[in-house]
Amino acid sequence: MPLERLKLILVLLAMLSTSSLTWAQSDTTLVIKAIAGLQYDPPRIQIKPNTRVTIVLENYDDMAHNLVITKAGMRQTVVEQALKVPSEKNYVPETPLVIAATKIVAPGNSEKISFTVGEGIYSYVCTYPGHGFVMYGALYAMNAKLPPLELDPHVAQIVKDKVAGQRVGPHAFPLEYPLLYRTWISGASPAAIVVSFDGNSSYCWDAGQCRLRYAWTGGFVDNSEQWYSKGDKFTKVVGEVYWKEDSLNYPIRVGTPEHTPVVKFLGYKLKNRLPTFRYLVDGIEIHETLRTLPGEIGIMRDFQVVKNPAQKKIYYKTGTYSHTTYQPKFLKADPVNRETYVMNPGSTRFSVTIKPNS
Amino acid sequence: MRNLITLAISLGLVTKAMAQDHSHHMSSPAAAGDTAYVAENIPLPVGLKGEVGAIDFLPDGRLVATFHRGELYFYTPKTKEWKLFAEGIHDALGLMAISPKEVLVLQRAELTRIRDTDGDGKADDFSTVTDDFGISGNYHEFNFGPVKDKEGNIYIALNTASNGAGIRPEVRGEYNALGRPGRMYSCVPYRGWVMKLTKDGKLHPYALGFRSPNTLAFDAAGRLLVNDNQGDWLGTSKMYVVKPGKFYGHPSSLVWKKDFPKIDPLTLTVETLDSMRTRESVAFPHGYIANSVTQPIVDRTQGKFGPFINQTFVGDMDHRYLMRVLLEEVGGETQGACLPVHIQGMRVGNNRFAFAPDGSLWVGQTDRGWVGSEGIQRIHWNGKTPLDIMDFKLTKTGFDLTFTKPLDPKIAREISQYAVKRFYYEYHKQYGSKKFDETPVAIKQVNQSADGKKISIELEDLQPGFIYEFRLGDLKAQTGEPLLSRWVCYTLNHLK
Repeated sequence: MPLERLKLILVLLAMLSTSSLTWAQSDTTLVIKAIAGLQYDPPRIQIKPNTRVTIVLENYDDMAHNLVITKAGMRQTVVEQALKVPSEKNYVPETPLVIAATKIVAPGNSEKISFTVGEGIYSYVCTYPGHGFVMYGALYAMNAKLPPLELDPHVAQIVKDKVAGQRVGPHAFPLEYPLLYRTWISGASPAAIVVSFDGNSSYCWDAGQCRLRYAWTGGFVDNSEQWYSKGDKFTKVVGEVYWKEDSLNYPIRVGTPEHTPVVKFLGYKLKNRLPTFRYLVDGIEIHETLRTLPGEIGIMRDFQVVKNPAQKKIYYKTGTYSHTTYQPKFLKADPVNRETYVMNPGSTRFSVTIKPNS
Repeated sequence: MRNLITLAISLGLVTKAMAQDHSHHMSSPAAAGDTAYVAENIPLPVGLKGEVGAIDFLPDGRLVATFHRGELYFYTPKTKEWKLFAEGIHDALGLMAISPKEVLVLQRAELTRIRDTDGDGKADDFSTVTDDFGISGNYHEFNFGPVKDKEGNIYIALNTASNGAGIRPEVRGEYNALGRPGRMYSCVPYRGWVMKLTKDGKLHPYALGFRSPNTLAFDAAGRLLVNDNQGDWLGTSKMYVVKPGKFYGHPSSLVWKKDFPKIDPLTLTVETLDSMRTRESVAFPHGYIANSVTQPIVDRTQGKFGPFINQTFVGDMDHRYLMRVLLEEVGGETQGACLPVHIQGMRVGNNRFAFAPDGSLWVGQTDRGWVGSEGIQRIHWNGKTPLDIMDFKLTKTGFDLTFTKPLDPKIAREISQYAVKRFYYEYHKQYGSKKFDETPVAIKQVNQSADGKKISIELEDLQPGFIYEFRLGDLKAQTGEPLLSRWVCYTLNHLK
């Protein structure tokens, strides 16, 4: 599907997920999405009793699903009966326990069903073989206050686990800094590396392009959606980005500042958990270590030129990101080119400190 | 809860098999209650999300395992101790344990050599071995492998992307719009290919036409096996014997073939594509036998894991048993059979396997938003050879079934103990395929060998291009022991 549409859907999904229940009128249309991870979104819905309900099942997953309405207590029975029903009958058993049911809805398709509910708790469940034991939600046709989502016996365990998982740490060990993850995050290629010095000062370094992409302060990342299910969603930046590299600027130049070099990522080494990245820039091996600035917002990029057999001139070209001060070390301003520094002759290292203007 | 889900799903599958069964012979793929192979659960560190990426063993007997949130652990079975070796890895679905200080890991962006260079027991150096392939950022672009050949070359397989999602604003590698259409697609280099990494560090395109090649293995005969998953262009899950330059049927990856014209491969007719492709060696019938095949693994334990020495085992995401494949060369190509291996207590989600030095088979499980489970299990053999199918070979007139033990002739020679049918799956753009031409095949004759172990079945009709499915009845050993595996499916590409 087009990316714009995907974005819109993501926003809608986020809106739906934040409110744990949705109110509706006595004659109502509800949209229920089948989403990745054998789930419905929303995981439960509250409506008024004695309502004529129309449900549109939209399948956003890459597997086929259906949606069957039963009384909440009859869900498991219906799921077990459905296992004996062939696909031609959409895995829906012929029983009065089934109040309404869609056909099997292929990925990307949708289907509408209408039915009337009295007062009580109903389930919506996918009876596709293997799905019904995990993929279901609760339809409350009552005015009473609902239990918390994670304690609701009619909500799928997989949804409750997700809610519970957001409250504990992500690993079997406490987080230790500096901390590094390779992940997918916006504003970088799919070979991104995110690092936080201390849980507050953090940056995104792109191993696909061998350059620092952006830096932020006020937190690190939230991986939960990237880790969740099939990994379709990005890791999110927590905090505020104070600097971004120009999308087209590659800062290190070799021989002449005009030429954009060819780069190759070689890896990284950790020293007391702090990474030093190794890469080739037009064949010259560079080791880059990034450090946080104590007591202030900013980042220092420390470059070591490890192999430069032809003793080529090395330049550092800053981008044009506004409100930023660049402090060079072992570099001189290039007399010819704007925003360009040249490495001191004979030096094997140089550094650039990037600070937001206060 | 998780156990409950697993139990419920497996219950469902058994019931489903019963409903679809065409004969009176059996209600489950294997005799229940047998304990030749038993799976035990390995407890994970408290707080670890148990979605296993990959597993392997160090020569010293320690297990190496990667997990979905980037952890790489060592586990000592004797002391039951877990030790964190590395963090921050992205979705490592393959690994090769080299030494207690060195592990090769295939993650989303690259094949990485992870080393402990200062001897403190934790990794400190992450060197890129190769990242010379594209990533569009589509979630389905999984990477599989590495496996090594005898010469030391390394092979990896690159999953295509899914139209269940788009691609990222920034991709790595050249973007090719001609590879973008289709349900599963290849818009960045070498998606849908098996790649060969030579010792000079160069990554070469090796073979193409794969959809979701999870995953690779060299078998005991040195053949490179790749399992591919049912979906568009794959009527059912398949095992291929992969040879250089060959095209295995999923079209999108053709856009990265050197001599391929600059066209969308989906504009070619099915007949053209069909004439270009190399057929599978084994088709795993969908739904009741396999849903989503996983890793092939060879039993190189020389008998520590039971009688199936040098045979290849295969896992599946949706089923609580292992499978075996029995391959043979017919007409210059590899073809053969698949059959179940009953494992007591096995969960679903069986994605990764590794043999421990003690001959037990370890299983890494995952779900990843599909049907599955999480955790690690260890399967051990109880030391007693069960009555089971040892070999299954095509003859000029039918099939020879060889069993692990002599069969009770009174039962074994009855034609009614065997039900045979044949069918095929269509090669087409649609997702999956129904069975075509599903027809019972009459048995002419059943003969037993002098040693009682071999049953030769002569069929009324034997034709290439079909899967022959055998359901076996209440066959027993001369000792009265019941037969374990009750079905076997042979992919007949060539007649003898």
